[in-house]
Amino acid sequence: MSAEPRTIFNESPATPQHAAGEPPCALAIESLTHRYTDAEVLRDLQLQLPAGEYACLLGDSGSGKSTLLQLIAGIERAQSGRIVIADRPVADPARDLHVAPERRGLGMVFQDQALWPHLTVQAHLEFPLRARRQAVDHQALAALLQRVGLSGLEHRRPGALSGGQRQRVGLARALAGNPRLLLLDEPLSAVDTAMRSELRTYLKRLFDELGFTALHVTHDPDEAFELGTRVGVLERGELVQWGTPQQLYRQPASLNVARLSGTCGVAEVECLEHHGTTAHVRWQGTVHEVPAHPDVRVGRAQLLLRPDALRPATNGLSARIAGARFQGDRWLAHVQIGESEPLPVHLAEIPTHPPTLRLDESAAWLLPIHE
Amino acid sequence: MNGSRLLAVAMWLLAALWIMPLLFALWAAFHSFADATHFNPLAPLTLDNFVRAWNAAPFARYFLNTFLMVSMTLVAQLVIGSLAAYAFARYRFAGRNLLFSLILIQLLVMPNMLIVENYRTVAQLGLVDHLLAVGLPYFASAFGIFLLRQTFMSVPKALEEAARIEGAGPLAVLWHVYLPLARPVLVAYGLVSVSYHWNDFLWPLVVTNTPGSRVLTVGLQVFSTSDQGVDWSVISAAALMTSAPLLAAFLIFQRQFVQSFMRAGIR
Repeated sequence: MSAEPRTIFNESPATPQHAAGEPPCALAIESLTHRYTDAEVLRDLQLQLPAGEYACLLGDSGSGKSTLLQLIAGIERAQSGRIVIADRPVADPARDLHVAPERRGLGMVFQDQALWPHLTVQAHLEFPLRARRQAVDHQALAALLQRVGLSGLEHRRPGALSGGQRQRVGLARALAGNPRLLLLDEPLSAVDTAMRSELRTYLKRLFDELGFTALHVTHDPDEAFELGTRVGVLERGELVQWGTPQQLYRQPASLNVARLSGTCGVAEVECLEHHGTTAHVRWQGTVHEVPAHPDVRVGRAQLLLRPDALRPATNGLSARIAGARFQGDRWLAHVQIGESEPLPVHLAEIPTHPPTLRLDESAAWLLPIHE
Repeated sequence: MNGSRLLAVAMWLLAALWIMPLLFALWAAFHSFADATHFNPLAPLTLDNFVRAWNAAPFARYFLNTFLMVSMTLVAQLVIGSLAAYAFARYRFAGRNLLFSLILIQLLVMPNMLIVENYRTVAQLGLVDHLLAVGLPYFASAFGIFLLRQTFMSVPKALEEAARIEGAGPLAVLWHVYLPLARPVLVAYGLVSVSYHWNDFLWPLVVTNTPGSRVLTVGLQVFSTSDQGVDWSVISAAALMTSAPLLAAFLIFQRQFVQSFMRAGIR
């Protein structure tokens, strides 16, 4: 029977992915391309995830994020490229290498939990240890149950648990085997809004306390930016950007990434000069030097403005408030400067007369216009 | 309303028709040959028929043989059936559909049609008049493979994927995930298999020659060749004796069996 992909257990020695002194690499993906019969779902994907990071991969449905998790887990067999987990190659089609899922040392939290209906909560937690022939440390499991708020429910089966409790069992099961890498496949999308918020808090707290390495895929930008110490954006099978939330916020690779990573406005400007990391642009009759995307060219460009890029100032640009929303300690207003589209700005108070604003050049970001 | 009443009457009639032979066997077994056909409620009860039946043939040996044959067949069917069903349900391999079609075709063939060919095979293996030969042709059950394949296919694939990622190999997944989830089907199938093989007559009759390998149904045959005519009382006592274990098991586990049949969709 050749259905199961060939499993090779004696892989070549580990390939170091990190220089001395740097944290070890929990996951490295090199040139991963994957096709289904009618479409390419992942295209030349490169990704490096240092150990101890909680990475969130953001993408719409059909962007290839679930396929990526399946490839990392070994459920799907990679067609090209290479996957390395904790410095150990696990998939390399060029060498006919495919390590079976059970030998990759992973844990996974599923969107629909995938709990076994015939097993109790306790049995779920013991499963990864027994399956890997490891000793079951009942004290450690009890502590884990306590951490995820499931103490007292050890003997219940999934059918007798609420949606949130089931998701926490899925999380505890994935953590019980001390995985090298935790994969989370839209773990919060099957629960209601209140439960989602509670589970996010659980995840964040668990990550802070236990310090595991995780790759969490989601379509929810709030979730990704709240949880991720590193965030990636996947669009139609391509990893558009991979970096810290700050990098994605301040230096987004595209307008779409900019919108996913937070509130922003866009002003069309003329790029006069481009010097690699900065550019001179003319906006509202004044020349500004702003940080710029490497692909920007002289001519038309888009100036991305976060709410902190425009600040109240005397002798600034005269603006008209088009709308405002109170945010507890300040207002998020949308203002029009000349004929511009509404631009976001933080204001302490809503002034009685039109405000004047000054551009903080370091908080702006210049993006190319793709015709 | 009229329809349901009609249905109820029909059900009672069918139930009466079904239970009548059993009631007659009970009556005849506990009465002498002379009283068996007179249905006199005041006729004296006797256990003599059971004693005569027990002494007429080595029934203890037949019971043991039947129990061993039925257990061996069931275990083999469950092991082979679940492994084959798992492969057909979850793996892609060359010739999978062709092989499965052959198994489905086997479902259409009456086992008795294959008696001659099976006898030849068993003879070539030197197993004639051996208990193993009674069960051997049934070890790879097409019905079992088909039923378990359908059951395994209804198990969400994510349950298997979760087990694989958490460290379980394919056989561990079968043992810890698929088989526990298929338990109602396994119980229902087990009952069908046990009752079929407990009652099977023709093949054991053909393939066994001595009391050492005979099973109960073949042993019962000694009563049907009586020169003095058929003694219904002794036959009934013997029939009750041989079917008692199955009847008792069904009555004790009735609820579990019915639930399993409902879940498995076997009628």
